[in-house]
Amino acid sequence: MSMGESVTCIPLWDCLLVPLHGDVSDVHADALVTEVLERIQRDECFGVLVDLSGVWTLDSYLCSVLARLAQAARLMGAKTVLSGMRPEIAMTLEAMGIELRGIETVATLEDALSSMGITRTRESNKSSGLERLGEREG
Amino acid sequence: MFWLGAEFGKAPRLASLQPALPPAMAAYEDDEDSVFPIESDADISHARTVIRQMCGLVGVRGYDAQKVVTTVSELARNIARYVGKGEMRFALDTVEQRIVIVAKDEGPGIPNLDEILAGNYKSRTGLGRGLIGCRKLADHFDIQTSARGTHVRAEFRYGK
Ligand SMILES: Nc1ncnc2c1ncn2[C@@H]1O[C@H](COP(=O)(O)OP(=O)(O)OP(=O)(O)O)[C@@H](O)[C@H]1O
Ligand SMILES: [Mg+2]
Repeated sequence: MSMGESVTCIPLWDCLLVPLHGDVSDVHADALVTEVLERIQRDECFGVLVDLSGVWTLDSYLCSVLARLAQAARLMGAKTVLSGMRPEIAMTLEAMGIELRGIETVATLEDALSSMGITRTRESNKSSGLERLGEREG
Repeated sequence: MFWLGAEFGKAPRLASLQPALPPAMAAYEDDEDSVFPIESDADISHARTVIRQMCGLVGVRGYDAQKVVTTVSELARNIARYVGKGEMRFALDTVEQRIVIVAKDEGPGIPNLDEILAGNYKSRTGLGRGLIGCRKLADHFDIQTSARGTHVRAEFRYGK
């Protein structure tokens, strides 16, 4: 991810989907925090879904940035969930003794969505086979 | 032992060099060409990208590759952050089947290294897991530090 590249933040109902991919530079990581926090306030989001499935490496700095993001987002009333961490990255962090304390971490983006109360419901329409995402009530 | 040339990774089509070793890799330890200067954020990213490609070249993937790339990332950042500038070298020892990472700077050194490696250090700037983490990840880890600078060498075995 080059320095000039902007942060991707996709609005998803009242959540923000933030996919990270490739090499995440320190500059990009810092920009991410600023951007996400601004968007939480502007768009009144209550959830931040950070998907890590495309990230090449997570090191101590990126972990501290994610922890900082989650902490600040929480103060603004938004919950942060990390998804898609590849096993080799989890193993590396574990070996290094790096804990992502205070951040919910789930396997898949689907799990992250359901952690935000968003679940899939299948249209009961006999033949259509259409699927849609629906927001669970209450 | 092949030291990776600094031109490595800047070639437009690196993939086409596989499986032959790129000519730039045949540099020697004292060859200036095999030095990667570390100063900026972009240098850290470049170092990670290069070592990642080097791992790919010898078929090091998954957790084994993560260990190497993460170590480079930690050492490069420490140089950029605490010293301002320094250099790294990456070598491929195809006889012993190991990847060698060297990080060198002429900064103020790390007076409290023992405390840091004992895990008793509370970092003000980060998690304080960089050096101790690299030592855990590497198969061989050696750090020399004095008021004249810091020299870190980390080795990773592969293919076994
Ligand atoms: N090359 C260096 N030159 C001088 N001081 C260094 C160097 N590398 C590390 N240090 C010092 O050693 C301390 C520990 O480094 P380490 O990488 O283990 O943790 P950190 O950088 O503080 O946090 P983290 O790497 O987890 O983000 C640093 O806080 C810094 O004071
Ligand atoms: Mg560090």
